[in-house]
Amino acid sequence: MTTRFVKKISLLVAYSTALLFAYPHTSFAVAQGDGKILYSISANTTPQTRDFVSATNTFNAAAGTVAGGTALQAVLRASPTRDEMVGGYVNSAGTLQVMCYNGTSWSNEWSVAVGGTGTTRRFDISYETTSGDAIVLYSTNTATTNELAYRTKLGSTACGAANWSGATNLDPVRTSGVVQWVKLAWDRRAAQNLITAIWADASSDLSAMVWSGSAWGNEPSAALETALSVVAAAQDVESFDVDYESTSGDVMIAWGSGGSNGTNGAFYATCTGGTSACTWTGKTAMPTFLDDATTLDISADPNSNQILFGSIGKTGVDLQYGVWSGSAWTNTANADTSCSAPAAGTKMVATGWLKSGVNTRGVLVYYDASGTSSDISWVTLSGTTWTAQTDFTSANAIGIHKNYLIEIDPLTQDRMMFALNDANTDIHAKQLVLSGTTFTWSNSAGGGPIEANTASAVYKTFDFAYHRYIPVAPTLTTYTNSTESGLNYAGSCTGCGARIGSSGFLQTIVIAGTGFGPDPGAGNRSTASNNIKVGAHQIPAANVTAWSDTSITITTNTVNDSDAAWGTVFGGGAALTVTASSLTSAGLNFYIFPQVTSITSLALDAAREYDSGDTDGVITLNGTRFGTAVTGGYVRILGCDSATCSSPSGTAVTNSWTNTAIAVQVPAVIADNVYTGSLVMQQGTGSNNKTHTYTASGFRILPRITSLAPSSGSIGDSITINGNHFCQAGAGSCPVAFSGTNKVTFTSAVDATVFTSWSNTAIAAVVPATTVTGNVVVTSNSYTSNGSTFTVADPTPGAPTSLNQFKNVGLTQSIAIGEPASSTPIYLTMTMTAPVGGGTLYPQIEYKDTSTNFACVGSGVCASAVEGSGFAGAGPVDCTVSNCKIAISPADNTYHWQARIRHNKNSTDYYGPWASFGGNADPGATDFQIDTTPPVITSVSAGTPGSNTATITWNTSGEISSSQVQYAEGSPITFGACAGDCTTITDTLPRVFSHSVTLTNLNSGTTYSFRVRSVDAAGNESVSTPNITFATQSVTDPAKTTWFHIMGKTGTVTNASPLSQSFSISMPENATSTKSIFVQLGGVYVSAGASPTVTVQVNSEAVKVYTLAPIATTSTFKVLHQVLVVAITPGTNTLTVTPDVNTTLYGLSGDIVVDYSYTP
Amino acid sequence: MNTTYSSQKKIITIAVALLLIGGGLMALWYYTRGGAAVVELFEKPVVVEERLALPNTKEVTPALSRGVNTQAYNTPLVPRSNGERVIVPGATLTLKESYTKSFPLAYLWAPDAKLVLIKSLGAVTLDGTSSQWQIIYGSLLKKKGYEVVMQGDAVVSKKEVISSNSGYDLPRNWYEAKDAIVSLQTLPQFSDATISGINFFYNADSGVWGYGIATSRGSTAMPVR
Repeated sequence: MTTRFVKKISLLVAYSTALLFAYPHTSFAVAQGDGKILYSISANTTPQTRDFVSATNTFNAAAGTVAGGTALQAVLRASPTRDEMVGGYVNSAGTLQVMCYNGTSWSNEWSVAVGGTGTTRRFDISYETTSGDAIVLYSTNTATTNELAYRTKLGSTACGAANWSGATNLDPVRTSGVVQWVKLAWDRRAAQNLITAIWADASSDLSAMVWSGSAWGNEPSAALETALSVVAAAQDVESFDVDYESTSGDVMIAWGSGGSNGTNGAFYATCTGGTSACTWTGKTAMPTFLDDATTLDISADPNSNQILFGSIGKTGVDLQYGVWSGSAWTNTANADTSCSAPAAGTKMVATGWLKSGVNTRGVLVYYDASGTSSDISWVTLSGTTWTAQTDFTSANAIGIHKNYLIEIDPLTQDRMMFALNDANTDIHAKQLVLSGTTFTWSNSAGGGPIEANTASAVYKTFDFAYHRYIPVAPTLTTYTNSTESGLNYAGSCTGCGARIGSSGFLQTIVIAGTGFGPDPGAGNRSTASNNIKVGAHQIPAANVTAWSDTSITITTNTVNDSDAAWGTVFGGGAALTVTASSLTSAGLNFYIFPQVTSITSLALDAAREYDSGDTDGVITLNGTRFGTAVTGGYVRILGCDSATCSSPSGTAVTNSWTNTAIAVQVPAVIADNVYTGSLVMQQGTGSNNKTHTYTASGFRILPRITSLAPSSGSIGDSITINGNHFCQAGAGSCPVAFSGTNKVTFTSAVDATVFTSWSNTAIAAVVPATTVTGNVVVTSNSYTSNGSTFTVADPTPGAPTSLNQFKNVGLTQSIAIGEPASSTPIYLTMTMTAPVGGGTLYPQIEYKDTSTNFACVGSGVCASAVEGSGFAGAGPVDCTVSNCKIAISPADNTYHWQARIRHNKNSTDYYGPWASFGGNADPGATDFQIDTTPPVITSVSAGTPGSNTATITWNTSGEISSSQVQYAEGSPITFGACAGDCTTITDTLPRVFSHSVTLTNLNSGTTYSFRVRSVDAAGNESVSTPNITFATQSVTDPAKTTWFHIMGKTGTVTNASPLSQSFSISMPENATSTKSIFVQLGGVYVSAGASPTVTVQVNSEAVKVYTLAPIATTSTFKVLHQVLVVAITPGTNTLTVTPDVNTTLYGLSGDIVVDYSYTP
Repeated sequence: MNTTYSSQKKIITIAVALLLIGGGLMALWYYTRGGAAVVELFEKPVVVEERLALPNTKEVTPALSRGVNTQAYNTPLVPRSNGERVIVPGATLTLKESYTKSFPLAYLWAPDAKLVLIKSLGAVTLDGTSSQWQIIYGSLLKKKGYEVVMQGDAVVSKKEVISSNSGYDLPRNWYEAKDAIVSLQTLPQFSDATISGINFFYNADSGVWGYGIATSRGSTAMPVR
């Protein structure tokens, strides 16, 4: 009879206390008193289990485990240190299958051939009491050597084939046959891991060994027995048993050998000392007994060294029992002489102990042949007094009994499970409870069998085990953040928790509490039943670095648990929980804080103030758990948000914001005399708005150039570099001279050498020699600024533009190219521009006579150049506006000229290129001419005047000139200014040497005086003197008027259909002289307008509008229209008459009246 | 004869079986990981050949400390295939190893020598090694600096340089350069970034050592507290 106990009283007390006080209403995965039965079903290769629920004294429905085989011999053991059971069974093929239950599910661990056909149990399973290590010892089905082998699994590892050691052979020297039975018993004392194994071989030899916790040893010096009792053949029955004294740790082994009805066949041996090196005693006969012992069972009182014994012999078929005090047996022979005879493969006696308060009782159940098989016979022991009890009659029918099993609840010790199978292939389970001194039986399977069709009607196809480890919900008491103690837990804290990051930034949190249970194993620390969570986020196993019953260590390593994996979890109140063995603790406040792990910026831990369009003022905060958007969060740099540094309430401007990256603009409001400071951020959307200070003082604002004044110039110019944070050694330590670490560098690595001034916001410097266009960079205390482009311009001016030449000082009379001027000086102008400002621009010209080359070439000083007044650069300077015209007074001649600009800057002359005026050939082409001499008038003559005309002729010598005649009646006359007192013929061009002007419409027979005037191209004028007279001829030419008629218009004339009438005039005389011409129009009109008009035009002469009288009805009209010139035949004229839109003309007719004279 | 025939048959059978198994595995691999996986199989890592030159250091300035090498090979921070993996044949020392190996020289130079800067000059691997390291020490007694250049695992240059920086005590939690690289690798914004240089520098403003990594995203500073 094998009885298994967990004797850790301390555990019992702890669990009881927890149940009664701490968690009275907590729902446990398994509760104290719960158990599990493992069994087979005939022809079913999946072993079954049913869970026993102590609270209801019922078994749950059957559930399959894992397919493997059909058990004929089964063993089930519960772990003392975790919610785990290891089961094993042998099938008819002699294969041992080992399984494991991890608190949730079963798994097949491994299998091995142990031989036989399942009629004997060639293996056993045990846990070490303290370590929880499991061991399976089994037959190798070999004789002579290595008859046994074993495999182990550490208590710190969970189920899993990989967690088992490899098979190790065991070669007991006292055994030579194939091992048929194996039995294990474990030392229940605290802090002990001893296990004793006994086994029987095919020769009915019995031997033993002791497991030290790491190795087998201490085999007795001789076999304990060489003739074990059997039913028919070796070793067909379990005629031996082993157990530990609970206090001393001594080993007790009992067995049957020989004997008969009247002769004792029960023996025992002990191994004393309580260690793996205990001392074996020899085979000793049990006292008092008078029967053989074919089937027997022993069990130890879990609280003393007492051991109970019971046996039934096949010969006498009598029950005998006894109790071992720790040193001696007190036995009773022939306790019942009407028992059933043991058969091969059966076990018909079982023993156990119950304790209720101070009452300890031994219990022995045996198969009494009297009564019915549904009766269960039992006796009890109190002290050394045995009492036969009334049979307990099962509620359901039980067939012929085959195998008995008693399991005692190791925690309460006041109840036991009695299970048996019968010849009907039924398995039954009954509970016996001791309350005070009262025993109570019950039908734990609800009045029916556990299974009605198990795989064998003989062999023990089942096993029952109470849970030895009862998990309770963990309790969290506190945690410490060993990386950042400021985040340690304190009651109701809101500033507690952790930040996440990879190595260098991960944090380690040690969670303290109780009831975490044993370490589920490194790979099983993040399962459904064992885990640590922050909110809904489960810490991966790789980040759970240690686990004990009272302490769990986690890290926040993002290599194993990325920021993305945290999703929307940011922790919070009661967010931290521990789940152990499927029981979850109450939570502790645990907040996930942000962590800035790095800064990406222009330079390491440094950037510039943001300047629109520049990227060097944007930095990226890299890290974890920032929140998904800026709302509720902020980034402040040197204590500043985007608007202020004095009492910031917002954030610096962020360009983007995710959980791991924030792009932020360095505020431009940072005081220019502040250079280093903090960088702080607060979580945004979705978070608890926790903060992180990346650096309290180490973020540096680098110098920034915002502008150059001017941004272009030339070497030697003074420029001002405007910006901020120019004094990187500190606001009070602005450089006072240039040095290797404080300098202004122009492109081509040219440093400024002339120091002027240096402040936080401005540096004055002089453009050094040899610099070229490119970036200017400020270096302050070795920290460099951005570059700002400075254009180095060559002060050499370009060619002047808008060259011009004028006759007068007012510059209103320009001289066209090649044209002359009649007086000097003349004035030359241009527009001057320099590429850079500063300095003075001077106009220079050189003029030469047309045929002479210019003397000034190239860019040097030129003696023949004439220079005007200077004006400040860079221009443009327009000399027609600014007074920089150049006056020259050359002699009469033709000239060409060129111009250039002299730019005097920084005491250096820069000469621009010469530009030639006129765009014509140099030399050869004339740009201007100086001509101050008037033409000479000769040969003035009036010729032979006619009666109305005279032709005046004269010559001018030396140069061509214009022609003009002024005349008046009278002789002589004084022309004076000829203002109203003479007639001036318009000065005529082209200029000629021989002049001829015809005077017309002269009066006949009249004397006229005249003078001639000629003006040369330069404007020089000559007037003939003295006055010359001539007289027109006297004639008697008659005057005459002739009428011509225009064909009448028969239709109407309207504004839309005006009259356009062609007509011709044929004078009746030749050589006529017309005096006047009129068109006389007449007709009838009607008008709806208030002021009727009619428009008359002849040829292209000016239109005249005539107003007619307003009329109500038709009326006549007449218009007399003067014509200045008409074409005489063959010429054709056109008369156009157009009334206004309201007027219609009828019966229009016209006449042409010409007054003329002619010479007969 | 029968034995020979039997042996040949056995060899052929085994060969065919191996081919079938190999083909099956390849097909399985292809269809479970996508065609890119096959491409990746035949891609070779990039082997970076470098022409390393000694730095012409004359003076140790703050700018030198904060300047990260951006000229070396751009190593993908998170290789997406074998073809993006980088092998630098001469990169044998990690940043900390370069310190460990060079410090005895600095100690001989000046017993109060303290570290000022470590800077990678050659290509950097994701293991935090580089083919060339520049290690600079300072001494209060000598009022000078001392530069050691290590190439592979050998010292190729050591000399005094002008420096007013006497060096700093090292941080307690000095994680390796590889860890600094891993820190970036775990962030999505660096998933397609490259690195070309790494510094171990001292931020005198905050009094904190840190890593400076030249990335394609910009210079990235990472404190070592």
